[in-house]
Amino acid sequence: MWNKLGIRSRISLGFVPLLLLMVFLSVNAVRGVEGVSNLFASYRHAADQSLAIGDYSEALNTIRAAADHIGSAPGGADVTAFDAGVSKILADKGRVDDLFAGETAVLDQLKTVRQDVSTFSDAFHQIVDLDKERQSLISKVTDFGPWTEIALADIMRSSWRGFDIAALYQGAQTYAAISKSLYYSERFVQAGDIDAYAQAQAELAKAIAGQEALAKMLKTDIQLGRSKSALQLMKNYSARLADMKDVVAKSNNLRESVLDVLGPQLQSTFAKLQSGIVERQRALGPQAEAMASSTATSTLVICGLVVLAGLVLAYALGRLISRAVQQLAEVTQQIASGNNDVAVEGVEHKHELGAMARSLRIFQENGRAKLAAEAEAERSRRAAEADRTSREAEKAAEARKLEAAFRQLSKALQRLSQGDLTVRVDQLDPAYAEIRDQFNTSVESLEATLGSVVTSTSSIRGGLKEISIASHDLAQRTQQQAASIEETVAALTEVSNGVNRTAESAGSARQSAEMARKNAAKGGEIVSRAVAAMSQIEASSQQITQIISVIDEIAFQTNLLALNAGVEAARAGEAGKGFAVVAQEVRALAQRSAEAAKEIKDLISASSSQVQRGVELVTASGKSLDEIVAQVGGMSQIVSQIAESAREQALSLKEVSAAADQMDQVTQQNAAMVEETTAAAQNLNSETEDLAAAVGRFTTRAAGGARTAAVPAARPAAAARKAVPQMRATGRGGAAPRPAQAEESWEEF
Amino acid sequence: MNKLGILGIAAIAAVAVPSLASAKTIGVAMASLDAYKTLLANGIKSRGESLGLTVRVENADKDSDRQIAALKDFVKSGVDAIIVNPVNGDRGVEISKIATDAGIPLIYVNSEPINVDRLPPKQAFVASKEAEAGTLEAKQVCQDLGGKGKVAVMMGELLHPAARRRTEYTLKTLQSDGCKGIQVIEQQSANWSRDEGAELMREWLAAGERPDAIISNNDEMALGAIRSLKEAGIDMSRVKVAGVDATKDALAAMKRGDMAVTVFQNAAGQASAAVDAAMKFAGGEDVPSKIYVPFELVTPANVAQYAGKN
Repeated sequence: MWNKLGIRSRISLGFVPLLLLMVFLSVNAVRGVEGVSNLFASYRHAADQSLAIGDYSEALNTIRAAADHIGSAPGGADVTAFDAGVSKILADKGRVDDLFAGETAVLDQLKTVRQDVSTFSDAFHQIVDLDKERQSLISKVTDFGPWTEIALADIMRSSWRGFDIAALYQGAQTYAAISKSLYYSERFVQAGDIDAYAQAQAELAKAIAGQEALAKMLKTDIQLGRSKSALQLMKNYSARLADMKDVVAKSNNLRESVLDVLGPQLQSTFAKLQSGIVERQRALGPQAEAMASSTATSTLVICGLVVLAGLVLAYALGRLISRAVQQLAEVTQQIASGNNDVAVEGVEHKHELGAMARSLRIFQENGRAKLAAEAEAERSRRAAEADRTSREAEKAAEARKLEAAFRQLSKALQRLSQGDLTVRVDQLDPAYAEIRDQFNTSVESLEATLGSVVTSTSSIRGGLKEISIASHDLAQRTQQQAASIEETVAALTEVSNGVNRTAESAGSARQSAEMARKNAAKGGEIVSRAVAAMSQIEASSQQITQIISVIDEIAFQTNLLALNAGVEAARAGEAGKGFAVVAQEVRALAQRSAEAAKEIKDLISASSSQVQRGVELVTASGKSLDEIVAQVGGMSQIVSQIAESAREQALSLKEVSAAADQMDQVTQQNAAMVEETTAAAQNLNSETEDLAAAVGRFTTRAAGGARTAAVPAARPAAAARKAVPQMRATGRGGAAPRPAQAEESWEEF
Repeated sequence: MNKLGILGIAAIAAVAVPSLASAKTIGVAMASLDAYKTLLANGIKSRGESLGLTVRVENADKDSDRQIAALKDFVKSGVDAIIVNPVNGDRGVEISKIATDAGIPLIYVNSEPINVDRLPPKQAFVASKEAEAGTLEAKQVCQDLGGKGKVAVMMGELLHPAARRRTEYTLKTLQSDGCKGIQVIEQQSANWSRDEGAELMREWLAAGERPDAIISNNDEMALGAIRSLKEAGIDMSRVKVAGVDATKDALAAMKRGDMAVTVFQNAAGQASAAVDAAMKFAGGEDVPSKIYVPFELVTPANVAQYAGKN
């Protein structure tokens, strides 16, 4: 068995125990280091855990500080700090849970902590909301309360003025209750004192009762209205106060049942978690030390064993190999010196040295076969030489044919480069017939293409000429149009002047009408003065009539007295005779004056009736004068309407005239544009000429047409070069750069 | 040119009017229909009808229970939006809840509800800042009086925040620098009414008060005061009377020289803003929860431009 193995296998087998020892050594060392590193990882892990719990603790402190603060001085900053703390605890969930993976008890505790924190957070936010509501309610309470007092003072003031003592007294009672209620509610609002709330509501109830009693005593609408408002204000005040109490109670309840309970609870949970982790950290140190020292000892022992085994193995193997090699070296030296008959030993061994012995025997046999092989090789070299010479002759013939073909093609290409498109390649070696055909076809199609370019160029030239003529015509027509529009503007200006004159005339007509109206009005005044004068005449006539009546009365009395005198004179007899005559005379005179008075009276009454008629007539004429005044006024109005509409007409005409002016401008611009078009067409025409000349350089079978067409067309006279003031460059002038490009591509070709 | 301008305006108008798939209904619950509130109700009606809406107006006649019933009735008949002018702003929470429960947008207009700072979604408050009205009229009166004299203040129903705020800011303005020479000799309520304003003025005159100016919370009471002052034969050029609302009668009184100051409360502006906000909510858009339409000072110098506006 051992003999059948090769040397390599024997060495390998020999090293197996050594290798096993070394593997054991490595495993031992690795295990030791791993153990220590694991312990360090646990240590670091514990430190991370401790840090995480520390962070949580700190976040909790922030949260609790914010929660404590919010009651005393609510503000946005506290809410922000609180939310930051809460999100630190809740958002870090994944990382922290990974840190405690596998520790179910801790994970459960952390879960409870998170639940508690979110409950805590909900409660906190509710308190913040409630606080906002409380602030809004305070503003309502402080609005309603004082206004209730104002409303009551209002009622009492009117009651006092109306001497309504009962209502005044009742009002004062209510006012006192309200004031007390306000005092208590202030205490409740400021200090959150629930007892003060109850007192405030009790006083308010008294005030409401008082107000209802007061309402029954009031009589006027205004007082009843005020009372209704006051009562409603009180009720609103009471309701808001009650709302506020609810809010305060809810907020306090949340604080006591959630914040004050969960806060310490969370704190103690964190403390417990922290101390557990610290304990574990403490245990890890000594454990690591023990593991490190045991690993060092076992490693040293195994190292010693490895060294010993190595030395033994090296000695045994060295001896085995050196002996066999010495024998083989001797035999080899013999064979090298030409002794093919030496006996080779050790051929029977299976290992590598046996194989070497077998090879030496084969070398001996090879020496003998070598001479025969050398003769065979010389023969085959000669045969190969003859074959190579015949192939070179064939290649030379082929090269000559290729040269002939290229020469013909090159001649044809030279003619083509000089512009001769009629060139064709005739005969070539059949091997190059395909190239020849392709060349001929290409030149043919090129010739056809250029032929059609020539034709198109001449038709473009024809078209351009037409465009030139047309744009020239257009320019002329546009100019005509511009002239007619100018005439239109002039005509419009005249019309507008006419309308302006109309407006002016209408204005002066209005002034005349106004004057007529004033004159008529003056006539009316005169009439009324005449009426007044007549009335005075009538009045004087009446006075005269009265005076006449007095005269008549006097005459009547005189007559009576004269009659009495006559009677007395008759009674006196002869002595009174003369007196009787006088009395008779006096009587006659009285009668005559009475008659005269009567006549005057008649005359005056006749004149009075005439005056009356005169008054009537004058009044009628006054009325008709008034009518005239009114009609003249109407006329004047109509005339001013005419003037107004004439002015409006003038304005519209001005707008029309402006439109015509604009039209004129636009037409001018059109003319400019047409001119540009003409110029562009000419440009294009000359470019077409250039194109024709370029194309003419090529010789084709239809060459005659192309060459004769290259005569420059007469350029249309520069049309409408008249200066146009409003002309602006509206065109883009895109035609110019293009032909240059076309030329370039032709040359390239 | 002009035609283009007109076309442009027409195009803008066409864009501004929201297109409606189907005719919608708005329920409008008014607290009462006094002069100003009638304007407001009419404004809502005309704005709504110009948008192709059906507008139902209910008048609670100052009865807040009646108003709540009207709101419930609107909900039952399935209106698309509600505009309410609350009788008692203190019932705001209750009113808001009715609309929220039914999922119907709600717009408070003109009178402030108690929950104005905490309105639920799809609800808004459209009004003018009452404080502004009180400040504007008092400032003008102070200027007219040259910063000194005796002033009487007529308050509206104190139940209404409008009366309280206008009064508060009137008094505040009169205490500011430049108006400290003004003494407030009377301050009583006449419940917004013209007759009661007249009665209160008579009471003051009977008590021997001769104020240089009357600052009233609204035009109606101011007009009542003018009536009593005239009856007592007082020269109106020597008493400055100020009101709020710029009603037709007030503007007429100003043109006659009886009234010195009023403040234009833009009824049409409030009405349009309310209808537009309601329709935006109904169309799923969002609207700010407080929309303020500004008050404008009206004096004899600019009274002409307010003619026919209210």
